[in-house]
Amino acid sequence: MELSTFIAVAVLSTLLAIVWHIIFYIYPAYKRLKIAKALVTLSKCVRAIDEGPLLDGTISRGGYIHDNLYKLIHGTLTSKVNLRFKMLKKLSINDKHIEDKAKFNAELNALDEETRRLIDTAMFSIARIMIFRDPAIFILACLKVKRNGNGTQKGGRALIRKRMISSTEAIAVNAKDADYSWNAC
Amino acid sequence: MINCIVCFFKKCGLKVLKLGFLNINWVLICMAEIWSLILKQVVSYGPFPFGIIVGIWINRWSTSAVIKMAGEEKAAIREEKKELHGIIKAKEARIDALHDRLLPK
Repeated sequence: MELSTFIAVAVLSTLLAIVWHIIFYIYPAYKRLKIAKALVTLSKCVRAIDEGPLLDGTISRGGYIHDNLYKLIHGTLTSKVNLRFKMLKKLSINDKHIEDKAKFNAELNALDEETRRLIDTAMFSIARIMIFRDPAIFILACLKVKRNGNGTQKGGRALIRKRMISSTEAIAVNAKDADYSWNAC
Repeated sequence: MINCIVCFFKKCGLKVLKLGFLNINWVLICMAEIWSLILKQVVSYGPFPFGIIVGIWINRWSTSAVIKMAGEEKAAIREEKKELHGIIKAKEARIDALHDRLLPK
């Protein structure tokens, strides 16, 4: 055997082994760790919301924030949530969607700074969980929301965060129970 | 027992030094012989025998990374449980408040 063949075989097999280990051992552990950390942030947010605005009555039953966002947060905490592809159809623009969005935004803007920050953090941690559970559906949803909204801005970590939050909010407002699959933990 | 060891060394073609039973030389000679046997075996495996060593290293690297992440995950789950207890307390306070509003004393 020539030396070049020997080196090629050695390097290729080493790379293959490393990729194999990353795909089947390291990535699942990383995913579980990230989901666990996001769940910690989410539970902190829920605790703060429960002790603050929900007890005061700032967030009450019947609004979009209570019926959609809070429901999604609770579902994510209590079970393993997965998105379904048919949810993507509901993110398209129509009159009802614009009306819903306007109502939802009015409700969000009426909140104080602290509660708004809490809801944003909770939405971002849900987005982190979803991007690990169903990356394809979540990225498609992000792209769809971006196409519907203002997609002219460029770059930045903060912008990605904002986009993920707005996509999760759009999913929470538009999707119904049938668009998720709730699996008991 | 001693006869067995002496036989082993004679089989390996070593000159046994009669220096006493509790001498460290016995152990050293024994280890050197074992390592030389292992190396001979490894070299006979084929064109890439040290791939075994690389494989062991990759396995060790990935396993230690996974174990480290699992430890962090365990800490995160513990923290989450603490927060969930807080949520239950907050819920109880909310139920009490709603109950008071619904059925005032």
